[in-house]
Amino acid sequence: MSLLRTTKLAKHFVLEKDFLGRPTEVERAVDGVDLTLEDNEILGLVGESGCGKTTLARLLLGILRPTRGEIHLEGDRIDHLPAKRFRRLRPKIQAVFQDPSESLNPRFTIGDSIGEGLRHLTSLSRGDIIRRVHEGMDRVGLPPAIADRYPHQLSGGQRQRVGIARALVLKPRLVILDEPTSALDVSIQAQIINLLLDLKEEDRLTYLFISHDLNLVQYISDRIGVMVDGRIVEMGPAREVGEAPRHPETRALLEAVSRERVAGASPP
Amino acid sequence: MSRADAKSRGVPETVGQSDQILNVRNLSVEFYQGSTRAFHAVVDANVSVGSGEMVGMVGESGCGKTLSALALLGLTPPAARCGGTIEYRSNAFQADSRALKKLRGRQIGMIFQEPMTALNPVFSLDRQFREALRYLRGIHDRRKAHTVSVELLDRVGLERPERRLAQFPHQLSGGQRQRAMIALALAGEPDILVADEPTTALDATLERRIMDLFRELANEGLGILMISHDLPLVAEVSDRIVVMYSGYTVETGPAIRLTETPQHPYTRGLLASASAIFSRERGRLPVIPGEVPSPEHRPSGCPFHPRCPEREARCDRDFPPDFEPVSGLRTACWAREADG
Repeated sequence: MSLLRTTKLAKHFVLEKDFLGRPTEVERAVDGVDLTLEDNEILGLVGESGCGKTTLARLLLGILRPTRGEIHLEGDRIDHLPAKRFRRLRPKIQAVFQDPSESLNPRFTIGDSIGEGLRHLTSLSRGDIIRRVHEGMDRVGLPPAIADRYPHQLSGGQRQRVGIARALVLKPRLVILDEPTSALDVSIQAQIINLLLDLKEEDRLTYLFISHDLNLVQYISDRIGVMVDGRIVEMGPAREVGEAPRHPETRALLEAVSRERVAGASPP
Repeated sequence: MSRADAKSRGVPETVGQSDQILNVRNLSVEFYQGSTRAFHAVVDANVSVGSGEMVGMVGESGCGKTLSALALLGLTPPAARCGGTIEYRSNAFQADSRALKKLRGRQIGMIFQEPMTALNPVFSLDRQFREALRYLRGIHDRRKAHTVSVELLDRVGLERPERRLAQFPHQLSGGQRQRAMIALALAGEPDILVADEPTTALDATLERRIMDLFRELANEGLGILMISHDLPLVAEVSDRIVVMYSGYTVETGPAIRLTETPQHPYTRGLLASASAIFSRERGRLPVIPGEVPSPEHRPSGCPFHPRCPEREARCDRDFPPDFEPVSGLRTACWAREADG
């Protein structure tokens, strides 16, 4: 059984209505997406900005309600659940976003931020929460002293480690990574990618890796989906999509991101 | 751009000093709080740009690349003090001098990362071009200004320039706005264009098209200094590369040589991380341990030494001079002293 499955998933935003409240202009941000995520795989999702990648992520996280279609997690339909019942599932699907400085509350200490999900979504005692937070920080390579600091006192790489720890302490099955390294420096990006790959093996995690960086997606993913105008136009094993793209959009993306000089350079 | 195009550019690999239009030497930028020095943002930056040459300046955030660009345009904030010399053709300027204002716009054009913030949202393009042409070229006649504006937009490949001129910035797409910005920067007929992260806000396919445009402009004789954090991108489109780390220029050389035989441990680390992503097998990526230091907490000597795999005893004492371990490459690293 696959971990997560969507059928004909759609999210339409009404941009304008006429005087009777009937929609006259509709943005089809996600328009009929069939997606399957297998246990412990990394599915890469690429596309240009505005193609609907992030809206799709928000649907899977339950932040948005789909206009049509279904989402099944471990065989059970979850998209129509009332808020209270959906809360119980929240720990299972977690997310790491692009810019951790925007997703972390500046008034929370790092320890509070990492423990926030545990406080709201579990019934753990204070002592257990503190233990889990420290364990999480240790696993992402953050020194314990940082727990009492605030986000602005951390470097970009450290903040992204906090973002990962925050998702990890809830022991999720699926982690949605939405451009997790785009805001980071090149030398830090590689550290974070290595950390994500290690954690995936240790915790048997499944990743939906969303990025506009096709090179990175090709490197990290088992399978790749290419999204254009709210639809997935191509889906297949990473190597096939990368080497023999069928859709013109994939070919255009590949051409744009090819870096011949560096690809040919041999590391010393 | 294919590899064949890159080879047929016809730009010599090493450009002699005489061909350099812009030569920036020992540039420094210090920030003051009142009369006390708060920190040294740029310690020693060196870069030159020749006619028709595309130079990429790369480095991670906080390495001083944007401040270096602002300094050579005389645009640093009031709390900053600049040092070093800027030579433009045969004229030498002190980095802090007000005379730099004369170069700005006319001899050196500048484009910024986010065109939406650089274009004025309440004026049509026509009006913004008219203002630039009046100030930079003394063109007061509306009809003449209109004709020149259309030519400029046409040169940067913006379709239907007449129609675009009547529009406001928000009516253009991201790519169109960036082209309009480039056209505006060309209004003063500069021979050097400084572009700070010109495509970071754009999608990959648009980025490629803007890079192709830069390449065309360089082929027409414009010297371009492109600032970027994206070493693979810069390596592909530039003739020469300048690598910055924590306020210092650490390595300079022809793009092909620098990417094929990098000599500075930092450049090697960056390239190893970047090129591993192109490999077919997924595995652990090679990393540079540690973090980029902030200018307030710059390590002594060579600022890269705490992260450096080739660190020697003297590295935490003195910043190394340039060595030439490989012909054409200038590398500031003690470990290369024996080779250069």
